[in-house]
Amino acid sequence: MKWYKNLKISAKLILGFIIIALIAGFVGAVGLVNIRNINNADTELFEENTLGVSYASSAGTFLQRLRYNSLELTILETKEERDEVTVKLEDFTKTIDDLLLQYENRINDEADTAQFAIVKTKWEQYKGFIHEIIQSVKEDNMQRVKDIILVDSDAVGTDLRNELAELLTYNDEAAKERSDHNDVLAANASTTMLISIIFGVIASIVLGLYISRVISKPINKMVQVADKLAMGDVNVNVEADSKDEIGSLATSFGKMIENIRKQALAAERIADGDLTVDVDIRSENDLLGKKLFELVLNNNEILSNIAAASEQVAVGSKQVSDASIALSHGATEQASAVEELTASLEEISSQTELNAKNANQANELAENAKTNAVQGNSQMQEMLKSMEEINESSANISKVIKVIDDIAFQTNILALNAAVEAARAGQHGKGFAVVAEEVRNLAARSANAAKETTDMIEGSIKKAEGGTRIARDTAEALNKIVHGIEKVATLVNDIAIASNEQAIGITQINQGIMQVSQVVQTNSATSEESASASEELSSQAALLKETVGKFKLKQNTKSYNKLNEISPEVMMMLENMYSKRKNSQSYVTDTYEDFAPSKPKIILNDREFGKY
Amino acid sequence: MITITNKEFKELATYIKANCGINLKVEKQALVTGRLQNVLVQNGFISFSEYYNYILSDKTGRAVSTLLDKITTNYTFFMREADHFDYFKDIVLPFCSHKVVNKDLRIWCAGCSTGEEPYTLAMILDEYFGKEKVFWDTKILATDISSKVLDAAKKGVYCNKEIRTLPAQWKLNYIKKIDNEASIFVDKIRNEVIYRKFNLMEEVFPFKRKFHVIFCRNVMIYFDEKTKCNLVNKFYELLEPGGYFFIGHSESLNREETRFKYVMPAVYRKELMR
Repeated sequence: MKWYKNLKISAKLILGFIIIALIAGFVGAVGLVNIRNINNADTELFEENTLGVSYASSAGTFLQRLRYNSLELTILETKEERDEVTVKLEDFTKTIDDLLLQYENRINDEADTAQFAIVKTKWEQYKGFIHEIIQSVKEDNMQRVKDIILVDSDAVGTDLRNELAELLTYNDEAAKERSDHNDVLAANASTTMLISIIFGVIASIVLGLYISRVISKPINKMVQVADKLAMGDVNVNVEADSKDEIGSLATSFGKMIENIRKQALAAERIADGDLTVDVDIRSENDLLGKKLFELVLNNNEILSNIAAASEQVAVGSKQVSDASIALSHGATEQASAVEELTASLEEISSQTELNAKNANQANELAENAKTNAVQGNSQMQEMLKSMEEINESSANISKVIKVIDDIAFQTNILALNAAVEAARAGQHGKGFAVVAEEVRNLAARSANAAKETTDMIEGSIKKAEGGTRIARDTAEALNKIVHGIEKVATLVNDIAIASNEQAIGITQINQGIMQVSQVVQTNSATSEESASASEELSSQAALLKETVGKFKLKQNTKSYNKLNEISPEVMMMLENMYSKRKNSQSYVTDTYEDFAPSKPKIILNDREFGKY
Repeated sequence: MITITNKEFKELATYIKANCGINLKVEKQALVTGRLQNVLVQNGFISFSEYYNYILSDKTGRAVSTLLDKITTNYTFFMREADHFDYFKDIVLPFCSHKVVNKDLRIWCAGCSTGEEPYTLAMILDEYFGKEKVFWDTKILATDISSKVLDAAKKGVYCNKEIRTLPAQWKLNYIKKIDNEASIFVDKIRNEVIYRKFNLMEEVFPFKRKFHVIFCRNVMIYFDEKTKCNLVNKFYELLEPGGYFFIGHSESLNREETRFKYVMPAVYRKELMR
């Protein structure tokens, strides 16, 4: 039904109505036809049957009047009256002729014809009689008239009447038949009408539905599309599948959807970060288009600036990060060196203290030594004196020993004498001999002892002399020692003082270094922190740059150089630090790797040592 | 900055001293705080107590390793205290090359840090023995307590600035340039050093044989007197008679107490058997 769909709505409606009108007309026509048919049938009924009945019945009636009037003739006396009646008879005869003629004219079936023929025959007969009657009246042959009326025409008249009645009945029945037939006809007509009405109604309804569907379906579609659009869904499509107003509406809708979709796509691209879209501005009044265009333009500009700035921030912060990492490394190395220095200094400091202590001790010892030497010296003198005394004593002892020696000698002689005496005493003197022997032994021993003692004393005197000599030497030596020690003591004193000063000095240094160390350690920690922070900053800047980089920008944006470079001094400083860092970068300190696989115990050794 | 309380410091210092001998005095609080900041922050600890408890409870040993990596001062450079190296080359090596009959020269660098010392010794050895080297096993044992510096030392990569102080001959023979920044020791030298992790606080030193030379320079400055004494005694036991012991020039041994003989400043010797 393409062509239908392509009609304008008015045309569609009109056509629809026309069709409905036609249907109504058709139904009406069917009705009319049926009415006409019925009418025809009715007329037919009338003409063929009712008329027949009427004619026949009229004929019958007129026949009866004829008979009555003819019968009147027998009664009437006057000519005038009879002439009147004769005229009436003629009239009636004429009328009956007319009637029969009329009847004859409308005969249309054989039964009727046959029946009518009988009637006609009989009528002719009767008419003959009537003529005869009239003639007779005219002739004034009343007797004939009576005869005819009462005898001749009676049978015919009765037959005629019967035949007419038959004809009437026949027509009646025919009429009834026809009426029944007409009933059927009417019923059929009703049915036909009903059917055509139903058909018409259905067709109208269907047509109505169809038209309304044809009209409203696209409209509904568009309403749905419009609803979806209202919800923001641009994935809709409208097809104009007809060339009527709805089709135009659909086309316009399609255009609108297309435009909206274009703008939505443009917005999508913008949302995805692609700012290279070209937004069409469709007209002066295209608010959304204009604003989108402005949005793209402005964002391009702004984001280009941001991109440029974030590029520079990224570069700058990377340099700051590198510099602070370098600083951190340097600080850490410095901290290590200072720590080593501190430890070494402590070592030296403790050693110096030890030295000072030792020096002090040495000083003391030197003093002691000196004191002891002096004491030794004086004691040496004492000793010399003692030696003299010893000598004296020795001499005295010598004397005494001499005496002892003499005594011993004497004792010996005595003992000898005793022995001799003992020998002389013989047996009794054995005991005495033994005793004498012993005494002699004792004397000998005494003498020996005395001799030894003498030797010893002489030896001792010699030794004492030697000793004295030595003592004198020693005294001299001790003197020298004392002098030496005095010097040493002085020196050691100096050393002690110097050591003490040195110890104090080194303590000062130590303290200073410790302070430096504290600061350096803190610096190292701080610079490590700042290195971490600036690394964080750098990665944030990189992230920023990356994020901004997700936007695809048009290349030809102006106002790029509103944000200038970092100030030259800062740049130079950063570059210096950067190059310094490059020179001093130690791969050694850069590596922070995982540890060796752990051993079962928490002990920090390897297990084997190669050849060791 | 997370600060440390005196109590926390004391706890930590005691722990460290017990485990690796380093003597942290009260003045070292700033040092400890500074060095451990990162570790605390990275692991999300809010106080040193938390960190301390973590160290105690950690069974894998990683926490302690980290702690020691941070606490130890690994300050060193090439040709540090060069007098030692001259003495080593001029006196010690000739002595050893005659005395060591089985041609197995055993040298130990205790506290080798990032490896400058052992590599220097390796180069000296290589230069000294020259062609005879093939007959000798002169591998040096280099130990340290910190895994971090050991790993760096094993790599043998140093930045060119550090290498500058080395003699040109050595640079020519033993060092390959990687790029403008760094250089690496040739495999010949790197293979001459055995790096192992070792804690000088071990009760028993598990070495198979005695050493001919021990270098322990600027290590014991971090220990207190008692620890130092113990350690020195252990070293003494581990040296062959006539073996040499080198310490840092700022260090000295108590000649009253030690059995070592003083040779010259920072050089001591175990006397030869009579």
